Amino acid sequence: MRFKVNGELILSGLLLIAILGYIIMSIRIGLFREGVPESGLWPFLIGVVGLLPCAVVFIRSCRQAKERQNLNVNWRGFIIPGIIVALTVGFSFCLVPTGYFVATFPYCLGLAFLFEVGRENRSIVRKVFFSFIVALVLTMVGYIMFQLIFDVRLPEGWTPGLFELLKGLQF
Amino acid sequence: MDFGAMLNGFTTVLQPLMFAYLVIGFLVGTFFGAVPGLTALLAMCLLLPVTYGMDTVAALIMLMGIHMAGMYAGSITATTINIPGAPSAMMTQLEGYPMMKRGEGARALGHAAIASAIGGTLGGITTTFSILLVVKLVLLIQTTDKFMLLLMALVVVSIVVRDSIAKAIVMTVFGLMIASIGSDVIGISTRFHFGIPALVVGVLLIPLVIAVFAFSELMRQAENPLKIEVKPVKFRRRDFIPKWSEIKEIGLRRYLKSYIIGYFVGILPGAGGSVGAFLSYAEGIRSSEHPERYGKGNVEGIACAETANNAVCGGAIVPMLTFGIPGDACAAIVMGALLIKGIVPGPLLMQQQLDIIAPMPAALALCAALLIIPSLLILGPYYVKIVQINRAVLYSFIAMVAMVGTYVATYDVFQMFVVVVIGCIAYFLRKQGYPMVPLLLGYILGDTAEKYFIRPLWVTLNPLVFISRPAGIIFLVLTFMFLYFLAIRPWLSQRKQGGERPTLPQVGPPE
Repeated sequence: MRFKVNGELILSGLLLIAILGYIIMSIRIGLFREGVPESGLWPFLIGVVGLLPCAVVFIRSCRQAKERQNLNVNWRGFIIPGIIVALTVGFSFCLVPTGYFVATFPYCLGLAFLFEVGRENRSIVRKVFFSFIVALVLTMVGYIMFQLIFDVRLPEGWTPGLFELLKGLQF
Repeated sequence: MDFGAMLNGFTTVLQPLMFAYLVIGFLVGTFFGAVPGLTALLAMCLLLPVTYGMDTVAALIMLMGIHMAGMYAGSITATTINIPGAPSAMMTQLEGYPMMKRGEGARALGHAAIASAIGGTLGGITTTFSILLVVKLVLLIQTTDKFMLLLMALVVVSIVVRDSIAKAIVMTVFGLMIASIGSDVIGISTRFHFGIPALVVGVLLIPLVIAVFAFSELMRQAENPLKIEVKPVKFRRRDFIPKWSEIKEIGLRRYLKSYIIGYFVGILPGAGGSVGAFLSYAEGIRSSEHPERYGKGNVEGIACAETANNAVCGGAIVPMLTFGIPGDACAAIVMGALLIKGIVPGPLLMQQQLDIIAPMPAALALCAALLIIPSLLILGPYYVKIVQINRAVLYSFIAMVAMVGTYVATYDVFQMFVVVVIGCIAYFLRKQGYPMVPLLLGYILGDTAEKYFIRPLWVTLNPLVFISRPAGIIFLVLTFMFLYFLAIRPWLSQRKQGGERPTLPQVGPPE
């Protein structure tokens, strides 16, 4: 049978596979031992409860899928969210080793520029400059909010070293 | 009954520092509630990590301020630019925007503020007096009955949805599945951690909440930025004050009826402000002397919707504080804030730490009574500017607070990756219309439901133990009644008429 592949079909299929996998894993954990419930009983029951509606959604998605003409998954629409994910993963990797300031500034700069890019009637130079200012301000706002107002410790990372370097350069 | 202690909550909130927190929460909630694409729920998610370091009572008061303000503030953009700032303002949009087009936008906002103040104040006061009575009922319920109550809550959460019940059930189940990761409630083994040491403790609340409501929203907004065109409009402060004759025409009876509808809807798990507003609005049409005026800019419609949705706030915290079952997503976040502090909602909390709980309904009532109307008179002329905030600034700020907040709440970089992974999954789920509130409530109730299910079975090895007491049978009957009236009957009438399942109109960001 040929289907017009769409997001709903893919997602409902993945959810169905996930629930089936969950049920199988719960059976492997064990449902009962000498008549007494095991750790797998509750997951097994909730997996079984979820199986029927998940199957209903999947079957509904299959019925709605028609003869395949072309892929109607708009892959281009995922580019910007994908960049956000990449920026966030990079930020998560860098936050502790490099410190709050060194990690947050480029993260905010990247996000701000990403959201600015879509704006019309602005030159690229203005967008970059605006993003730079936004990133600077937000980095400071975050520092004031978390470290000074809410008294939580932000990672230092390279910040003390950078300050030492700047001091050294002054002399 | 310690009503005196509950009334002391008002005194606590009126202390200068605590009142300042209430005002801060109100302003944050107004901003997030008014800007389309943001919600008070998002504000509460972002602030949840910082409640760690705050005084418990101050944190709860601030969250209550955000909750109440967010419910009210959705009416601002619903009226001015025809986009509800919150799902609960959909009905207000139907009446407010036509009034805006007639040049009566300020009057519509005035009516929304008055109705919100009435509903919110009455809801908070009702909770102040009723919560101790409800606690007495809770003490009569045993473990097996609690499981049946939780089962009822999970069923209601799944069927009180705007769209597909099947998808809502799937999301509830997924919430339960996420809650089952890590140690089991029996405490003898760990499961579903795939060998990852950090998952042995399970998926934590803050990363889940941030992922589902903040990170996924960020991705949605990046993919489809909400384009808002705002025509220049000037409001004069005196225009916000509606005519006394209009308020009299709406009538005390209509305000009271709307508040009662909203309050009891708030008690239902997962129902939320949009259901309260819709039911109250529908009742308004049914009982109105001039139903033909609805949908064309009618202040009665605004009064019905806004009174009800703000009364929901008071109702939603009653089951959360007494049973540990949140009435809506915002109440779930408040419950999360309590759990983070090691405070478990329930009768014991009400008996031993009433001084922490009492300010909560008081904060709702005082926020509605003292802040909504003055904020309109002071800030009203600038409301239209709120929606013009630069999106780059807004979403960069949200992302930064979300991710840094996750780190400072857990001091574990792994949790930031959990946010990204779950956030991506939530993004795809939301794209396909899967509701997130059932997922959150399923997660929050999952461990407790398993505990109340497994322990009786360990002792009795008899599955009929759950309906061996009258309370268990009553909850089972109520479950079937909800199933019938909210799901089966509408489905049968839909099949007879051959049309779509009647749903609330899908406008604005999903809850």
